[in-house]
Amino acid sequence: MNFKKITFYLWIIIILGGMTTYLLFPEKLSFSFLEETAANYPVEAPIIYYLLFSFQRVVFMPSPLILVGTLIFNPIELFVVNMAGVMTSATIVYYFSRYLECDVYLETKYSKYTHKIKAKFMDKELPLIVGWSFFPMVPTNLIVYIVSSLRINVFKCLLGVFIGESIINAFYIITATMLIKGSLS
Amino acid sequence: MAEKIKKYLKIAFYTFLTFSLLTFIFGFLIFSNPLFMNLFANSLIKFNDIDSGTVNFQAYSKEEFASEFFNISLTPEDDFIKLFESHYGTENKKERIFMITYDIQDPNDKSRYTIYGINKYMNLVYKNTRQLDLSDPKHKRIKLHRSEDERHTGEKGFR
Repeated sequence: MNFKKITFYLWIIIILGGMTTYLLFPEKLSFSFLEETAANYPVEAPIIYYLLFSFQRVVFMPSPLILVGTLIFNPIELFVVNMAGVMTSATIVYYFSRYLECDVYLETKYSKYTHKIKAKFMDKELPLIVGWSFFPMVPTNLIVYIVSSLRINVFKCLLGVFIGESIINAFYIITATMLIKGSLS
Repeated sequence: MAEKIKKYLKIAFYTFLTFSLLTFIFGFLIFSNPLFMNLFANSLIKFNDIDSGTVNFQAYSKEEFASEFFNISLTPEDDFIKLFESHYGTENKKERIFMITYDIQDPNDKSRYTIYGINKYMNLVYKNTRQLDLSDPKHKRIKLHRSEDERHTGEKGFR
């Protein structure tokens, strides 16, 4: 078995592990410790938050961090850290999918379908990526896998993810802050 | 090439505008109806692993709120905001375009505060009680609720 295959199986195991933990034992993923960390280490806390957030997204775990983030950081700080996490995870997933040669696999096995999808995607890539990223029920990085496998330009992919995620993130942060803290200031 | 970039930026701009508008409508619905507000807030709290000890949220219509907390039935002539202020005062009042919010301290427990949000034009009132950490008076932080046996250190984060 070559190195790429081992990496691929390891990747699948990590993703399944992350999703199973979230579905079966959500209480194991309590991030209340971040509050204490933020009080004692104001510089390190956003970095820890960013790393956790990025990791969760790479392994398709729905992130339970927004409300905790609202309690700890100010809205602008939270938005910046969230978006940094979103873009980092999307970039990792995009290039990792390329490294695993998902595009080559799809092209050789299902070239008929990939060409059809690509033709349908033509000129609509950006709205589709934005729409998928915006919709909260589906993991954003799934579209990044698809886009990377269809060899769509990385810039288009990341711009789409940025637009969709920035709107929904801003919405979540504003509403959560209004509900929990009463005002944005 | 310039033409292509122009076309591309146009698509990006209109997509951004469309989804922003959609979000605004969605937000407007949430902040104007207690049913949508409760659904949204409860799902947000549930999916974020925050328990009711940290955030105790509830939204009401103005009539429901008046009958539950003021023991009166609200008539169209009544001014809900005046009625509210006569009962609770105007502590930490903030007035914005659509909403008026108050952050009122519990007279029996100095660390407990309740946010009341009133939509000035629509039939919505929400309240959210939380415990504040008053050890640092400059930055009043919300205390995350922990069970008695849970230590307050990082290594206990992943229980």
